[in-house]
Amino acid sequence: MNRKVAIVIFLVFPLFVLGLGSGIASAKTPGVTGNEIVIGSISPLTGPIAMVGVAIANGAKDYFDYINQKGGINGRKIKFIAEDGKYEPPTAMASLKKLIARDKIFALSSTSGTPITAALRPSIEREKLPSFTTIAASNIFSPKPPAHIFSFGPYYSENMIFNIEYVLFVLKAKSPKVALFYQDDEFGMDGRRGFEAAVKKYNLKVVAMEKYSRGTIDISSQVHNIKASKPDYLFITSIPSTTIMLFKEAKKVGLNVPIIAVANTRFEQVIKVAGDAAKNFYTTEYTALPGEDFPGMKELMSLWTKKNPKNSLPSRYYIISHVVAMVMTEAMKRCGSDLTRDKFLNVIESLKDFETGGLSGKISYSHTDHCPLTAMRVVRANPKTNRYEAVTPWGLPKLRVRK
Amino acid sequence: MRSGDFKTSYKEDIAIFQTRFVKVCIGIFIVVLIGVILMADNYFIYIVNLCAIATIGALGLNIITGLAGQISIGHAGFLAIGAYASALLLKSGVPFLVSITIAGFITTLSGLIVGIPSLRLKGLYLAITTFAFGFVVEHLANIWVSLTNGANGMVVLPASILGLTFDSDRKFFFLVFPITVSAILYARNLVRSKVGRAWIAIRDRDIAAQTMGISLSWYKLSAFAVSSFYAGIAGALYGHYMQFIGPTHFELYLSVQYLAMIIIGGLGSVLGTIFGAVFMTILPELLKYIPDLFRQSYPVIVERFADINLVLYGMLIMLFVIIEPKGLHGIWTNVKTYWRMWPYTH
Repeated sequence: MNRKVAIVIFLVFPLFVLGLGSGIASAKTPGVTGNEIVIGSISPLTGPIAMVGVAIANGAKDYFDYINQKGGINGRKIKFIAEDGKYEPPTAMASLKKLIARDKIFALSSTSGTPITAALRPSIEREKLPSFTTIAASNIFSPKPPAHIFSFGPYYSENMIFNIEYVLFVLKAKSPKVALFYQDDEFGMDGRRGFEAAVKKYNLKVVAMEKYSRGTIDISSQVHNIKASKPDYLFITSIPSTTIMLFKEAKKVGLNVPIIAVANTRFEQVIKVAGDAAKNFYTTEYTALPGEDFPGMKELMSLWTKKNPKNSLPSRYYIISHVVAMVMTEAMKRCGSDLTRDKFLNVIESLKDFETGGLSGKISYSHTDHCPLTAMRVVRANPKTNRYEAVTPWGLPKLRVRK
Repeated sequence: MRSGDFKTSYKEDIAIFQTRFVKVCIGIFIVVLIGVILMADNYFIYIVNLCAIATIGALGLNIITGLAGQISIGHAGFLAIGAYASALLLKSGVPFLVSITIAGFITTLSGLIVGIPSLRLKGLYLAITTFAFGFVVEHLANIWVSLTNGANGMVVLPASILGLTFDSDRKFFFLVFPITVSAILYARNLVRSKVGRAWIAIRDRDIAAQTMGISLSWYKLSAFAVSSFYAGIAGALYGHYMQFIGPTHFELYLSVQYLAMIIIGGLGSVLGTIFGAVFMTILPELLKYIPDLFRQSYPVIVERFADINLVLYGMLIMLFVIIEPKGLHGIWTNVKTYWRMWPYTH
């Protein structure tokens, strides 16, 4: 028996040593050939938030197709591969491995949501894969950003401060009583940080701070408490489905105050489902609204209407993904014909005041800021047209929380 | 031609590897697998590694649910405890092999705590208790920020033994593979031992088992202990492999997936568990290719029916339970007996 064991170990052990020692290093830039650049994207194409993921994939795809029609980037065409990350870390990781190993991508235009981006981060860093994400998440990008991941736009805390300053300086509310409703996780906490900073700075009276856990289907007690505290304005950091619930619940108990949200709930569907209950609904938004009169938006709408039914509108993630594709295209153009990952990263970090044709504020990256604060506006829901209308000009919050 | 296995002693009947043919097949399989791993790309190795980790976790669930008959819907909770424990220990400077072992024992302890109510609870009531346990762990991972870094998740150091760091997919395979093989062998051994027979007796009829002199409390608790040890090891390996864990990695969905693995594979069978774990890990990846097939010719279909693979996924599980309740292991046995007698099968 012992002899048999010895033989087995003798046969298998060299294979192990071989396996541990192997590993092929390649000096060539992956995903870049004479006439092609391969770009990947990971977003939830199936599952409960597929709507967002499909918009992210199509936003980048339509823009890259458009660039290809115009002749590509320095003679190279972009090959865009969208993978389904399903909003589950292991599945998203499988997609990342597939994109790197099979499709040999040069860069990634989306890593889907915050928890997924955090999970993919070690692999992205090890691979030195230039990546973009469509969410401006403070816990990813501050205090020190990951070396290879980029995004743009204000953090939720900055959205919140901008909203409070809107109430104070545009609506000129005199010492308003304010309430907060937020999701009990990092996303909601970021909104709460902004709320607390602004309350402290402007000396406001907080009458209620109510939270809910992700995935809950009953928020009636929170809404009752808010109603009982008689606020003048209600600020919220919640996901779209909960926001709709909040409208319905507020209508039921007769809570009739302006509800002001952060950008993530600015979906036309929210107004559509909530109906008249959304008439007092405001959010911040850092991209242009669909159909607005900006050159960048005209270009985007021409791409959108080619493939989608009339009267449909691109969602905010389609627009954000389009802007990301614009940034990537510009950086690849500036790299010239000798496109490498290091050069690409350096070019992005040196991008200053990049114009997106009015789709967003100017974007400037630096070595220490991979998610630059861009200008935003407060927009108001119009239940008659099921659309949002801007109520402020583009601007930045006066109170800054970033270091 | 071989017409059957003829056994002349009890020892032969309970041998782990029944015939020389089986031993040779397994040997060839291992050598081929390692050979393929040496040549394959990282995506393939990643899937193999996930299969190996899932096998360990599913073996654990199969011990408690398939063998001892105590239903557990909180398996993700045990995986989470193992993952967090090992990650924190390694971070604090404990060597990897020690940290993963301690993590296993910490999970065992938590398994014992959950197991105590099982002495009084059965069936649905136990299912609800374990279900709640899964939520408690997930919630703790969310709110115990000083320990787990909350919803942000925490970065986990890669495994390393004697200065050798298992940070690439290929290297990790050579760590996880021996562990999986030992886990399988140990489980196979348990099934044929006194303990395994006691568990099966409890599963089939606990009152009858008690009358035969089997201590229900001892064996139920030991099933929970062994099961959660397996889960702890699987969770720890998952954490060190992903190098990142967060509460979203260990949601209810994961427990359900593990249950599906052992149901599809075949309850109570070690081989079936391996089949189930591999099948359930590979299936979502295979299903991804289906929309790709139509992408070129019918892009509209893909956009309208993007969720088609979720429908297929659900249907496959339903079909398995309806058509082949013994799972993949049952199919395997049927195919094997068919070919053994071929061409004289009836």
